[in-house]
Amino acid sequence: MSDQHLGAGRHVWAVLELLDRQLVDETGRLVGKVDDVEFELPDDPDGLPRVTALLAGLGALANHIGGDAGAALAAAERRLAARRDQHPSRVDIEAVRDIASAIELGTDGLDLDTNRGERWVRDVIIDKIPGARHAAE
Amino acid sequence: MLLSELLGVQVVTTDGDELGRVHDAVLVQDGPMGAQGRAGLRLHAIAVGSRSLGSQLGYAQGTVQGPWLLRRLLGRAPRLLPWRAIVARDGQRILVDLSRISEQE
Repeated sequence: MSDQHLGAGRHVWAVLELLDRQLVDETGRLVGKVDDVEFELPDDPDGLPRVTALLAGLGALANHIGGDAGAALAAAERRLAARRDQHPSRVDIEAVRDIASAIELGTDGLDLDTNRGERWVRDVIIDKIPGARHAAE
Repeated sequence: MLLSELLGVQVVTTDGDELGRVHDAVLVQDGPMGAQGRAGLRLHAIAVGSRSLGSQLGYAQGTVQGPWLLRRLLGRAPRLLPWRAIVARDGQRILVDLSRISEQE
């Protein structure tokens, strides 16, 4: 059986075209990479599973920094995930605008759950540094 | 259900034949319209067998077309099993009924 028999509509190979792809928000900011795909199983036994979300493990900052600092941030991200019922970061499929060499999102990355590691660093570390509130002045 | 729950799982027919492991899944954008006015992605088939070099590079799936020599060498299409052929599934094994495939094609 070839994928040509699977019906009309764009065909997407989940592993080849989704996993490890960069998530890019509407401003062009890199907000993580796709680690898994979430499906909703149909009630109808003859129905097909529907993609409901893309799941990402680490926040964008860990990807950007790399090295020991990135690894430390990744560890913090994992701790946060454990506190939040162990759910990974989730991007609703409705937020996806296009699937190409990167996954383009139609939302601001700062609002996404994938960015919680970056938010944690900002709220818990950066904001505690004297003068941090006046960084733009 | 997560994609990772399918990948690497052994696929076995109702006759007991082992077909290999799941290495990819084909999604088709033909689901119900979402809030953004786009059709949703639905899981139509799983790709089984060994994940060849051609699959890893995209030649087997046809998403990469050139150079033509590599396409000829690596473009052997993976074996696809429609989702509706699956009759039972758990973390270790996916049971498929091949007669359901012939009924549909």
